[in-house]
Amino acid sequence: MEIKLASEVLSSYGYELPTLNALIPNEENYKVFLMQPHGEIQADKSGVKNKNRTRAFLQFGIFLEEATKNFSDLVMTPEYATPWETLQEAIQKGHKPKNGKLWALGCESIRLQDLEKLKEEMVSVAKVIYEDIDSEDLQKNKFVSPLAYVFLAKEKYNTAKEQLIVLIQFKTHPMVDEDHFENDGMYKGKFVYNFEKEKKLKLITLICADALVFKDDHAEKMNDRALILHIQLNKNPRHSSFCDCRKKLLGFMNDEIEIICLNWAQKINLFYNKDNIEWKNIGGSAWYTKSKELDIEDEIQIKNHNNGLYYTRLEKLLTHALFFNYQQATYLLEASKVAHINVKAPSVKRRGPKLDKIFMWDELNNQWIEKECIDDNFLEIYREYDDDKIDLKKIKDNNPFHLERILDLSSGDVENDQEWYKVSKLTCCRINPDEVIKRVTFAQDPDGENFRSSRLKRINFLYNILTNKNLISSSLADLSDGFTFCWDQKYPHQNIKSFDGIPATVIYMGEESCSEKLTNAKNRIKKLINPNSIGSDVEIKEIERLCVYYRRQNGEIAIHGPYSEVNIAKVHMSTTDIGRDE
Amino acid sequence: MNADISKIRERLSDTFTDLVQINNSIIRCVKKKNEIPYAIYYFDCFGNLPETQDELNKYQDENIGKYYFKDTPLSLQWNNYLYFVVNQETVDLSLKQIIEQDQNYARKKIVLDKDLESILKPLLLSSLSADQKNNVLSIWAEKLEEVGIFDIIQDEKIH
Repeated sequence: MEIKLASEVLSSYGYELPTLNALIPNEENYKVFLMQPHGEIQADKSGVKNKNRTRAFLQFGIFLEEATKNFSDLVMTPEYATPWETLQEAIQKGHKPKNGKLWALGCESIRLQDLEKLKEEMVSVAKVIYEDIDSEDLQKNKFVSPLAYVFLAKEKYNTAKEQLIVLIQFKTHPMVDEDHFENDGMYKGKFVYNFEKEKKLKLITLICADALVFKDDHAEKMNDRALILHIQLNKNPRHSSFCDCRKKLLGFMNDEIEIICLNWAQKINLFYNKDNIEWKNIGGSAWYTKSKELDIEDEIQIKNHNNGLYYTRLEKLLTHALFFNYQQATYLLEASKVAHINVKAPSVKRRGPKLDKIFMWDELNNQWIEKECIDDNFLEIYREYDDDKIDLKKIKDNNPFHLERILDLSSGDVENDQEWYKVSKLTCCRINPDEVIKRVTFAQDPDGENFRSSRLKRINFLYNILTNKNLISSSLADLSDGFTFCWDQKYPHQNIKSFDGIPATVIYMGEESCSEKLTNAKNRIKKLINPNSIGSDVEIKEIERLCVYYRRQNGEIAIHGPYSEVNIAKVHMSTTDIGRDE
Repeated sequence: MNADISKIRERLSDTFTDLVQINNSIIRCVKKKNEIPYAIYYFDCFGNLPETQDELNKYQDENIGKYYFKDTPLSLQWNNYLYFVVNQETVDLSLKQIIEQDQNYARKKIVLDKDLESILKPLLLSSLSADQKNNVLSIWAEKLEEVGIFDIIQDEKIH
């Protein structure tokens, strides 16, 4: 795999590389339109295509028409997705990118000889360009996994004349599959095109298994001021090989890199010969950004959440990873540029992607319909663990991050950081390098199920404890009159309020926590409430209203260190207490 | 019942103006100076002592806990006293240790009914001889007198 400047390729055909809106490093945001289709895919040694062709023509045709109408600056479809017939028809109908726009469309496989024909067929509407193929390969007539870059370019020597270009990039490495249909049948490309112009922002696209041959030296060239697109038809988009590729790109100190991974929707059906193979895959489409200025305030992330873009933090790579809903949908986003160059301060920040609109396929009317929100599957798991007694749904509907905070705190699982409640620091929002999503309020990742159920079980136990008067600590006696789980910025380290509105921190750490773990959790929260050990009366009262429950080996519920705050020999250090040393 | 709670209440009323019987056996008293509380006393007149640490914990959670957190200002939490008023002359030593060495909620003491007045009676300070003038008590007495709260040490017997 060799990364080649798109400008050189275009130049050899007599065209100038256009200035793409997405790559102008200024404060203006750009629009991105993505399609994550549901897969009913026909695969064999002749290639990979949509099985239901009529539906595919409709879905992709309407998508490209909409992309033209909504003036998207960057339009993407996943690997093997867009039918060539649809693209040809769209262009003929005038549904094509305008100046400065770039369509990066993963197209259905096509045999090399058919590609030659397509080039001829499209000559009147577009200049189709792809790497040279020698005659022997052409004779073998293998298929390619193609990415079609569609954009307008000016002629080098006649800049008044514009030409629609279809620059086709081929996948350079086959995916590992049991039947070797790519290994045997696919022609491997040599080049990946870089849209960098005047050494400003870079843009390349990897096609699925290109990631397997993405080396350190590629990453060294592409990690800075770079927008990386990664289109896939991938059963396991977070397989270690794919995570490694992202690690290579994101493992540098600079923060001016973003990766947009676009896979098909969850649960692909692959028809291989006559077998229907259910992949049971996750979606895995995601937007990775290292921007230190990303807007992680609740307001924008709630909007993203409701529209189907879910925040997580890949701390090891200092990266924000925003995952798309796993369902079939098209997404319209507005994003800040991957880098701002020569932008005078003060200016807008590189606040990352904001998901503005989501469209779902209406099978009955054969239309993409705009939706106000998309199912995050929380309700499904919520019903299993809460019969409305706690009313977690109400909390989540108001603000999903409030619920994540309550759940983190109720389990004693918060960072030793005064701002543990920031979205990027929530335990539920953290992902490990395996990228398993543990968000309770986005419940689509099957591998995060144990974590989610454990969190919900804990809060249910906690509720049961607090509704048993015999188990309520004397410092929380007022909870006997009623309480609600809640989170409030004014009381960030508390997860509950009594009927009279007095906050408290109540934790249940289950039966698996040893004494040391219980002590650590309690001390951690105490330190959050009263960081300097000499606290105000309010802080001391808050510590009194901190209670850690656990289950003993014999099954009894107990309070950890029940008398630590009432020991007359170890009274609280107060700011007004000048003569006492502990 | 070990002692007549109403009689004890009467005896306590000589010392405390602010006293409340919180249940069948316990009287809670607040000591104040210039209307500002500075100590809280609990007198258990029932005569039945908690016999284990767990019983003592439960006893305190139920009887003192709710006042300790709700009605006791932070500045008073260190100055709580619980007296078990009993008639029997002898109390099992290990039980006495469990109760009197326990440091939760309040300092605790088992007292004989007949000795109750001794803990209620103010400590009388006599004028100090020259060689006593430098002891800790006299230094504190002088300091407290200067700021007008000399009564704090005068009304408590110091052991």
